[in-house]
Amino acid sequence: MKPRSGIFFAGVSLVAMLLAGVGASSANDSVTKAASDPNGWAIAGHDYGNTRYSPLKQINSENAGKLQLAYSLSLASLRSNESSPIVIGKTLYVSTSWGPKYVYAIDAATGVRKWTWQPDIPDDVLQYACCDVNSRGVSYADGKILVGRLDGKLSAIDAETGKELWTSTVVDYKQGSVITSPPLIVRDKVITGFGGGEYGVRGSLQAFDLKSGKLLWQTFTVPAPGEPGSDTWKGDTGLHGGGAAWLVGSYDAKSDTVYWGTSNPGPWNTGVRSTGDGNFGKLTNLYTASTLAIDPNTGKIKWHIQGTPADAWDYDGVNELLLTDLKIKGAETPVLMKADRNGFFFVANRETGKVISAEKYVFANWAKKWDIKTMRAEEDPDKRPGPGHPAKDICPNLIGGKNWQPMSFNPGTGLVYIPTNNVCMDWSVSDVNYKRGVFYLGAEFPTKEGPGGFLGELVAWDPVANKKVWSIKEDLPFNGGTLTTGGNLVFSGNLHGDFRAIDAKNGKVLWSKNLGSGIGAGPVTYSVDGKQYVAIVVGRTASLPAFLGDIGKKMVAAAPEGGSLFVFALQ
Amino acid sequence: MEAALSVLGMTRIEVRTCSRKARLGTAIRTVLLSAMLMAPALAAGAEEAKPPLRLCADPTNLPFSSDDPAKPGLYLEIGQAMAQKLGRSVSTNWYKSYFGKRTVRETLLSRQCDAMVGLPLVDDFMGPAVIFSKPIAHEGYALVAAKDRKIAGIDDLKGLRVAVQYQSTPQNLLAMRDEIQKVTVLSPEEGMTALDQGKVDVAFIWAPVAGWLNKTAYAEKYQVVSTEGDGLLWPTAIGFAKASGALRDEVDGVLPSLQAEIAALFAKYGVPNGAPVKFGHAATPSAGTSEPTTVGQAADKPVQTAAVTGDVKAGRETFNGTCAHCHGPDAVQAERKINLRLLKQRYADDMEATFWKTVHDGRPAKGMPAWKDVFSDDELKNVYAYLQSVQETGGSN
Repeated sequence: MKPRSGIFFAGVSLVAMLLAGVGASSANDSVTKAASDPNGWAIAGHDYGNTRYSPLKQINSENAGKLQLAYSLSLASLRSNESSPIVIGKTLYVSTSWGPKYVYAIDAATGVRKWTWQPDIPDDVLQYACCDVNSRGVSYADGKILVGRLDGKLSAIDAETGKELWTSTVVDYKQGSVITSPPLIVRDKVITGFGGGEYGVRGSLQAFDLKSGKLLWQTFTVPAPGEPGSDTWKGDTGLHGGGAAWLVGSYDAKSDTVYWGTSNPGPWNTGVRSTGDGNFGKLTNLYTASTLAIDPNTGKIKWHIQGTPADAWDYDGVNELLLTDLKIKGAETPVLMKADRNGFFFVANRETGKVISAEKYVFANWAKKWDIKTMRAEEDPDKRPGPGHPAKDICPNLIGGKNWQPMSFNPGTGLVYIPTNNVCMDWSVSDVNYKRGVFYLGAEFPTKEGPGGFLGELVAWDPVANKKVWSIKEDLPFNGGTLTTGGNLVFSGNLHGDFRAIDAKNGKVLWSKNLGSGIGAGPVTYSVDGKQYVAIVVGRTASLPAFLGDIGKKMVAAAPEGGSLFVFALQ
Repeated sequence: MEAALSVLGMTRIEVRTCSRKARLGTAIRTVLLSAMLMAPALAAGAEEAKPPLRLCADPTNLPFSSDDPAKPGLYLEIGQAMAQKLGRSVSTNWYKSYFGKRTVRETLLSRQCDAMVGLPLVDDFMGPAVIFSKPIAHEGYALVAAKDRKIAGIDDLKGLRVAVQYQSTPQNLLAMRDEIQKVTVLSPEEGMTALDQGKVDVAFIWAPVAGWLNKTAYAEKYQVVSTEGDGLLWPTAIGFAKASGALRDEVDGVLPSLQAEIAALFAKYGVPNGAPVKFGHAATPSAGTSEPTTVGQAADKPVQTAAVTGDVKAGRETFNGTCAHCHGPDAVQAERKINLRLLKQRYADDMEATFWKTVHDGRPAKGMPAWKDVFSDDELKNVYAYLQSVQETGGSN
């Protein structure tokens, strides 16, 4: 398999396809089959490796200027619509914000609705959810649609009829834990995490039986006192240590390994759970702000990479692991890639966990470099906030060099397309005080613009040479995820609602259309009866800007709230 | 008694805006009744009924506020006392306050209410968007321990097991003190439980809740010593949106005459409001919470829990004559949120309690009026019996 040959697949989906049917080590056959259909979009991230790469090329850099609206669908739910639709055969499934309020199954070519599912989401979910009422999509396996919900539940729906098959409780949402991302399905197991790292939870991943919804295993992302790794926490603090796995997982069939990122540790004050300064020694707060490799059969943690030991900046390590094969120093290497919130782009061997490179992909000043030998960052002590030690002008800020919005990898160009942020902050630990029913919160984290006169940037990144190849600067942060295709294209939206087709090789904008509300979601593409479509969900965020002061005000002013699916095709 | 009058005053306004015809007779009766009852208030100077003072409050946050009329909470009772002085009734917009500033943004600053009791009087609290009354009290953290334990300062905590709330000033304060063994708790309730179960020697937790629990659940068994210092004690006030300066001035005008009443309310709920101990300084702790002044029992009627008997046929008639306007004839409704055939699925054993609360008090923010002064409880009981007869069944794990 040559990653740059371009025409077919990003690495892992091919691997998964080849291994399908081998037996015990295979993925879920129905998922593998759907993911190997070049016309479909089987998983929110396209395939088990979250590549968001489709080989389709009917729409390409020659004709993208002729894209026209095929149809649109009102999602009937405003704000924070962050769903990546999935397409199985000729049916497109899309979830909305607020719970989700609805899941729709529509004819992928015409938009005609097949069914609508409306779960009973309690009225008060927003009152518990930390970071808005988002849903990032649904998952498919064995004729079922699986949905993680804001009220901490996981539901299975019949993909044909929209009838609810089972609903299981994953976590009590009233402790501030919500589910906003689609689960990962490996064989008979539906694996999901949940959010709420700041509010005293102990993060965990859990697997539910695909058929019955029964809990099969639960793995805490923070060891209990006495377990290996528990000595990385001060006192009993690990029991409320965060490490929530709230974004999406990835899966490698060859090594039969699930990968998942974990959130920041809690509480924010590092003095409580570590030493409070950069000399934290072994008090690194495992396994928070980390990448975990997990055995899907048992949930056992095989190994980990901690991107931000003893995190002091809210640098969640949740960003998705993108799995592919790269030619590194002449050798075809199975890798995982993560654009970490902390501003470093991690490339590691996904079979061994060995970090190959970790270089800055955005402006970052909290650390001079990330040393792959010591597996630690070389920090700037001035930029590490601690008790009695406020820090100023830390970059990136707490939304990170990249937030949840997904990146994509094109094996044809060899580039990763990353929606990045260029925002900095001041931080004073003693200011932070979140408690139920108590309004004594202190100051919010003052937000500052990063250097260079822009706040966001779509970066085309060479993960082997570790350099930026081209970029498009944005006047706002928190822009949409990306899709890349065999047609030499990148698709991406921004907070103004501009949805663009971009030449994947050189960054030239070939086509742009304003869709009326801000875009956070990643686009998807698929083909029905020989015709290729590109679909994007719009509907800007509403809660996040409240954390960002004047920048937040600009984000809100950039476009109205919204909630729609738009689907484009060539005339 | 005057609180009851206020409620009727509010009902009159809501009845007027109601477009039903079938129940006009009842409505008129209610208006007449409330006008009659309000006569003394009118004579006292109010030339016409002022609109109710809309308070935003958390429905599940005792001792501060609750939607249980038997235990309205400190902030709501202060709000009621204040409104009474202003010659206004009170209506409440409920919103849970897990995320304090968001709550203020979504309620007070979105014009869902006129005032919010219990905001911290801090200069940079949400910038100029929120303005404040004069302070009404001080609130903060307290050390809670057995009455015979000396806890006059931080040195007295050496060698002890101390419960600290997650992400709180006490947790930060003790973080670097290795000689004190911290036990992390998520809430003051959990801290009190740990204390009572002997898992900790001292709980360093949010004082109002500690005082309230000490009074209501632990028979005042513990001393609750207020502390002061950076991030340990704040002046508390009533918050308003920037545009409500006139109302704020009015409130400031009546506050001095309410001081005694407010102090009594703090005592009633066991919330410490006395002189705090400077934390870290040697000082004699007070013997307990502030002086427990005896205050009469809450006069509100208990939550209605009528027996589940009722006339289904009559209930259906009432339902279709009134409720169907929004909820659909025979309660057939495609909009899931207001589909009353799903009450059993949604609320299970809480269905009846939820019914009475919602029907009596309404959900003003969502357009559901309060009906308790329009229909008798017997009539409402029939409606409930009818709804019970049309519940859909469905299963989930």
